[in-house]
Amino acid sequence: MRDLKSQPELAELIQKEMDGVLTDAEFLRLQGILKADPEAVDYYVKTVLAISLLASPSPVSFMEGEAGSLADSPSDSALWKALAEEEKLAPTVVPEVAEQPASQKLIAKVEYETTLRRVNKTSFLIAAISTAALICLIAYVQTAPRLVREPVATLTDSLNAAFAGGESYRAGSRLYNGKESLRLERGMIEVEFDYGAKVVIEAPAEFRMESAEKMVLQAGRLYARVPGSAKGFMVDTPGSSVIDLGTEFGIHVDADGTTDVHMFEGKASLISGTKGQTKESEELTAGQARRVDPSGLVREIRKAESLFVRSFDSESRFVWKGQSLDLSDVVGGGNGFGTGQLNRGVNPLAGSVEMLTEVTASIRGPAAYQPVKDNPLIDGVFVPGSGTAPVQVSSAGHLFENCPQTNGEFWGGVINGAWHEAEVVKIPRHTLRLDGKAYGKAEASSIYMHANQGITFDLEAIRRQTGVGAASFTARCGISESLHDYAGQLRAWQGGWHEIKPEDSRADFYVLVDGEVRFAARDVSILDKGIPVRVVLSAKDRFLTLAATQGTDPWKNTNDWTLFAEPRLVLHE
Amino acid sequence: MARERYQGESEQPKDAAFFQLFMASQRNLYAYILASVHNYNDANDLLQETAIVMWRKFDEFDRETNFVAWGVAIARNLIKSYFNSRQYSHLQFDAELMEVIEERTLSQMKQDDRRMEALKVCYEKLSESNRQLIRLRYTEGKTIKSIAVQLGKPIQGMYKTISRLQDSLLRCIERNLMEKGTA
Repeated sequence: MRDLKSQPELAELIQKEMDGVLTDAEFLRLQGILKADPEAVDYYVKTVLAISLLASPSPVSFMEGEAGSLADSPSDSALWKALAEEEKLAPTVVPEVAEQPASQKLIAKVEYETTLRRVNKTSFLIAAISTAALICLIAYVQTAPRLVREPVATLTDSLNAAFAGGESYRAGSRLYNGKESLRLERGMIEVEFDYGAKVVIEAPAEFRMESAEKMVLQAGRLYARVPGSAKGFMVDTPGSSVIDLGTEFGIHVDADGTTDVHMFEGKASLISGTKGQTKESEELTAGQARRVDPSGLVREIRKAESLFVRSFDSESRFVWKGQSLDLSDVVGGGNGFGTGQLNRGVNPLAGSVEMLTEVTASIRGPAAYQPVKDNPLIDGVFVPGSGTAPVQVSSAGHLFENCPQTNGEFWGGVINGAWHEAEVVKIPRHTLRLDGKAYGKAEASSIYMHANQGITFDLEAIRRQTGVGAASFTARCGISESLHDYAGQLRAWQGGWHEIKPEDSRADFYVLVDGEVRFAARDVSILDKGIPVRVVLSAKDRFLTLAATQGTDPWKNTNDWTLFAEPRLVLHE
Repeated sequence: MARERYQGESEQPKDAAFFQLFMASQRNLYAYILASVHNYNDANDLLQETAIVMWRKFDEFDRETNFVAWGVAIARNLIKSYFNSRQYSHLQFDAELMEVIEERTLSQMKQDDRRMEALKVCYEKLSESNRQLIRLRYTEGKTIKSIAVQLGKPIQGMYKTISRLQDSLLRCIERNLMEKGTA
C-alpha cells in the first residue's frame, strides 16, 4: 500500500474551512475536489480525525502546557481547579474575517463567542475518573457563559410583586440572562424557564437567570417544579449548587448565605463547597433536607411541610403552601381554606347557600338535581330517591346508576358543621361525634348531611381557582355516636311510634367521581364507628359527589345522623 | 476505540453509566460533528448540545446498543437543524457527499486509539517551533489569522505553513498506522 499522497491545496482549504473563512468559490472548489476523488475524501476524513484528536486531548495528554498539567491528576479537586480557571479565562479570541473583495460572499460572519479552549476543558472534565465528574460536566456545560444576552424565561404570574429599581414585570414579560441581579422586594412571582422548569420566588429575594436551565439565588426563597423533560435544571446559591434530576424542591438562602434545600419529590444532586475547596456532592431524594452553611459544611435538617409557596393564582389571590383543601369550608360558602362559615350550608330545596341553624323535621326533597350558583366550587345538591331513578348527580348529566331506593326525604341540609336536634322526641341540639371526637369546628371540620342527601363539588372549578389539582379525597364517615347518648329517646314513626335502639339505624355512604361509585359503605351502623375513606383522583375527573342514603333498615332515614368528617382534597400540582 | 458496552454491571447508577459511556465516546462524536460542519466553533457548540440532549434522553437509550451510534444519530439531527437555521445553508456539502463523508468518518473512527498512539509518536518528532504552532492552532484553538498576527507573520503565508504542517503530520500518522498494519 502506498503512502498517503500529499494534498497541499486540499489541506489549505480544510484549514480555512475550520476557521470558517472559505469564500463561496473556495467552498465549491473544495466540494469539487471531494466529489471527484475518493482519495481526497479519505484525506479529508483523516485530516479531520487527526484535528479532532489534537483538539480534544485524551486523559494522558502528551502535550505540554495547560492541557498537560491539568491531565496529571484526574481528581475532583483538579476538576474544580479547571473550573476556577475557566472563570478567570483570558479574553476570548474573536477571529476576524479575512478581507475579501466585495464580489465574493463570505461564508460566515465570524463572531464566535466560544473558543476551542472550552471544548478542551470539557474533554478534560470528561476524562477525569471520578463519577461525580458527570455532575460537574452538566454544571460545566451549563456554566459556559453565554455572552449573548437573550431571553431565557417568562414571568407567568405575580402577586403583589415589587422589584427594586421599580421595574415592573407583567405576566408574559420575558426575562433575560445577565450579570445583574433582580431584587424582588415584595410579593411573589412565578417564572417558567424556556426548557420547562417552573419556579415560584418569594420576596425578599435576590436572583438572576443564567440560561434557559439555570438560575442563581443569592438570597430569598424559591420552589421549583421541574418536569422530567427539563432534567438538569440548576440553581446556584452562595455555597452550593442544586442540580435537578426530575423533581420538586424548595431552597431558602439566608442573608449570610446559609442555604437550606428541601426535597419534595424526585431526586436532585446537591453540590456543596465554595470556590477553591474540594466540593462534595450528594444525591437527595424526596423527604430529605439539608443545610449548607457559609463555610460549605452540610448537615441534615428536617424537611419543612408548608414553608414554601408552591403555587399561587393572582386572580383568586390564592397562595398554596401545600395545604389541603377542606370541603366542609367549601360547603360553608368558602374557598376551602377558611373563608367559609360554620353552620352555613346548602339547602337542597333550592340549591341555595345559607345559614342552616333552624331545622325541624324530615321533609320531602325536590325531584330534580339542584344546581348551586352561590359557590362556584359546588356544582349542585340532590336528594337521592326523591325523583325517578336514575339519580342525576352533576350539571353535566352524570347519573348515579344504582342509587338505592329511598323515601325521598332529608333532614336539615348539607351543613358545614355537626349539630342535630329533634324536638319532637325531645333530643336537644348537640354536637355530633365520631370515634370520640366532636366535630363541627375549625380544628375538626365536617360535613353533616343527614340521609338522604348528596352534594357534588366541581373539581375543575377548584383547579381553576387554586391553580393546583386534587390528587385524592380523604375523610372519615359514619353515624354519630351521640345516638348512644339519647338511646332512651330514639323513636321512629311508622304507622305509630316505635322505640328503636342506636344500633338499629342503618345508612349508606357513597363517594362518586363523574357518576361512578368509587367508595361505598352500605348499611353502616353506629357499631362500625368511623370508616376511613380515600379516593384517588386524576386530572380528568370533573365532579366529586358525596352522598348518604337511608340503608335497608325499616326505619328509613330516621336517626341516620350521617357525617363526613374532615373531608379533604389532598392537592398536587 | 469507543467501547460498545460500558464496563460494569447493568445495576450501575445512571449517572456513572452515562459518564463512562460518554467519556469513551466524546472524541468520536466530536470527530463526526467536525467532519460534518467543518468548523471548530460550531462543532464545539454542537458537541455540547449533543451532550446535553444525550444526558436528557439517557433513559431512552437501550444499554444493549451502541452508544456512539446513538450519539451520532442525535448529533445528526442537531446538525440538520444547524444547517437549516443558518443563512448560508447553501454552503453545506450536498447530500450525496455528506453521506460518503459520514460513512468514511464512522469507519475511520474505529481506529481512533491507534491513531492517537501514532499521533503521539509523530508529534514528538516535530521541531519545537512546529509543536508550538500545533499548540496554538489546536490546544488553544486560535485562528490562523490570529496566530499570524501573534507571531508577526503574513496571514496568507501562515495558511500555507500550517496546512503543510498538518499535511506532513497526517502523512506521518498514516505511515505509522500502516507500519502497525492497520491502514
